[in-house]
Amino acid sequence: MQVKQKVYELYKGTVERVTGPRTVSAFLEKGVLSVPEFILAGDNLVSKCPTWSWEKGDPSKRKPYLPSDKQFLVTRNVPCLRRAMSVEEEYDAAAAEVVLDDDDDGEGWLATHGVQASESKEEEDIPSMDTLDIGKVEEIKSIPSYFGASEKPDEEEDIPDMDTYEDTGDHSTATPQPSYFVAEEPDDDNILLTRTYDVSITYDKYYQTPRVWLTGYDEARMPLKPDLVFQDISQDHAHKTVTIEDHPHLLAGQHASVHPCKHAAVMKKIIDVMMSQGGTPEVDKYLFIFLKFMASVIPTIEYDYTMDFDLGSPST
Amino acid sequence: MAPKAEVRPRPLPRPLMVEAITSCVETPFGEALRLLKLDVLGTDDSPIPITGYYTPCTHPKVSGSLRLSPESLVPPSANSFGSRNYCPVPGTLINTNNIRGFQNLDVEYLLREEAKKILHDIMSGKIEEGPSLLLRFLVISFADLKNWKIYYSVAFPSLVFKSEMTLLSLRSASLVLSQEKAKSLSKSLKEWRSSNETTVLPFFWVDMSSDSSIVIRQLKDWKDCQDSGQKLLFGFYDNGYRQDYPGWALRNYIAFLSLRWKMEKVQFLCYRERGSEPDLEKSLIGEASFPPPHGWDDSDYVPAAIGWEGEKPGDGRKEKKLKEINLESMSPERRDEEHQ
Repeated sequence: MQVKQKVYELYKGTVERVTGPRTVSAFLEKGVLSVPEFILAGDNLVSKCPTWSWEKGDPSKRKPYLPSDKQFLVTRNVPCLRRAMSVEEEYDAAAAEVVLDDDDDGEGWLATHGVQASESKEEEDIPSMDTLDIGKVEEIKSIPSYFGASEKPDEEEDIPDMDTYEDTGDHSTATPQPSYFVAEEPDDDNILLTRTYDVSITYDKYYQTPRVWLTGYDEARMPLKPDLVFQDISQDHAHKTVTIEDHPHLLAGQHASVHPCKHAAVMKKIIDVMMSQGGTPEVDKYLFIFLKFMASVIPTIEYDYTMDFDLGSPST
Repeated sequence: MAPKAEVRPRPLPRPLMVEAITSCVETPFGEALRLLKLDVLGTDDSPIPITGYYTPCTHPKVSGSLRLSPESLVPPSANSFGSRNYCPVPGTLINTNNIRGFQNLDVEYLLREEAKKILHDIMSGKIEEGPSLLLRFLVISFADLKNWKIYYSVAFPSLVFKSEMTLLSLRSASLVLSQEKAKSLSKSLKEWRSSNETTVLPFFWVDMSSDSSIVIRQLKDWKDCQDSGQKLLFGFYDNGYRQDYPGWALRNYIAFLSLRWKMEKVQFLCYRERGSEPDLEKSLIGEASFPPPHGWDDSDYVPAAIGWEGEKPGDGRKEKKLKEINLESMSPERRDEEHQ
């Protein structure tokens, strides 16, 4: 079979550099990736979408089963222009179009948005969608506005000792200089809503799948508190499949991660659908499929995974 | 040129203003600095060279920033980290020992010192070899180790001309260039960005003189190719995303073109991307004029400079932006709590 051949070639090519825990490909059978397959798929992602790069990460966290210069993948400064919470309604509407049919084990991932979104609204006391008026919502004010232009700092406890710090220098009232810079206007809707994310993909040895990590920044490019990150995660997944943890390759900071326990099952399902439609899923495209599927969890984070193939479209 | 009110808020020509740049400091940088302070620096508060990472704007609605990551603290001599997504830029870090030391820093003096380095690199020809020297930056910090916080301010020194720089025109590159030229430029830019040698060079010039193809060249190749009435564009990686203003890097670029190459009027290209591709709709082509400066040749000349992040020179106040990195999640107590 063509795919298997490809996998074998890849394996032969990389095995000298890498010794992975999984030695036999189970991409088609189980939806998982071996380490060499992860490297191959990562290389392909980096070459097709160069906003992604391989990184070494912190030396103290280096994983011996991955090449030292290809520990994980990352794309930085990815915009997130709207809160996922505020687009849930669109998801409800769009649920009918989701390709994958839902039966038992894919639950919570792709096809069930409509149903789950409305259920969880009641369960978790998520603010009613009617109140989500973009540009005026409370959640936006709660973004820490560190010395930002107009907003008063309502997170007083975060700026404690240095509250006393003022730039008292005598130079401060010198003659007004002409304006050389324009700063972003705080009343611009777009800017107010703009957060950015670093999105990284690590290899999860236990589940043998990629795993996605999110590091958020507010509109002033200050790290976003984890609880605010949940606003950018589909409410089906926030606090359930998405949790806050230490990053396996980075030195510090709190990062949101999509737990990989169901990744293989969902990937297997997608692969099956593609094959049933006459497609031949290739393992080097794993991450494109994977990222497309991740978009259901983080629908408003606009990372790059463009590929000219359409997942599950009947025409392929 | 047809006037487009929504793109140009003020009539041209007008004084050149640029979009400010912001720093983006990763939490792991803070942790790396904390460890450096503990293990290496001790109470030494002398300036240390660091590296920032700059990229052009990659999304129509979000500007690029200058990043500080743990790699930033690797000494430049040993730091090979750099790629199309991480264009290395030299900087200076002054980490003070206590809050008093931090407050007592003469920030205006420090900024001028950095500006002087930029001026020196322009005059001595170092810019041609290492164009990212034009983007030199400064960080002052205080690591409050007891409270797991790091306070810092970042400055992006920008040389101030006594005479004004004037913006004569500014339009989307896709409107200025013919389709054929745009295609050719796009192709050349792609090559520039995919070559390991050139992708980390944020300043370049574009030779548009040939009918068929457009050639992008490094600053260091200028000597061989100047004179004759070529059509030239001076290009730079633009962190800004706004259609009505070029980004911050243009100011020092113009200073360089004026002081070193003795130009008084140039056409420039603000290079911006969408995803990984050149985006000629968002990229801008403009023209600026600037009278020749006086007195800058003097080796003792200390130029005026602006550039503390958050500072707004226009309103006469100078509110320096103070930012913080919270490392509480690294504290042993917090980690114990989490693991229980």
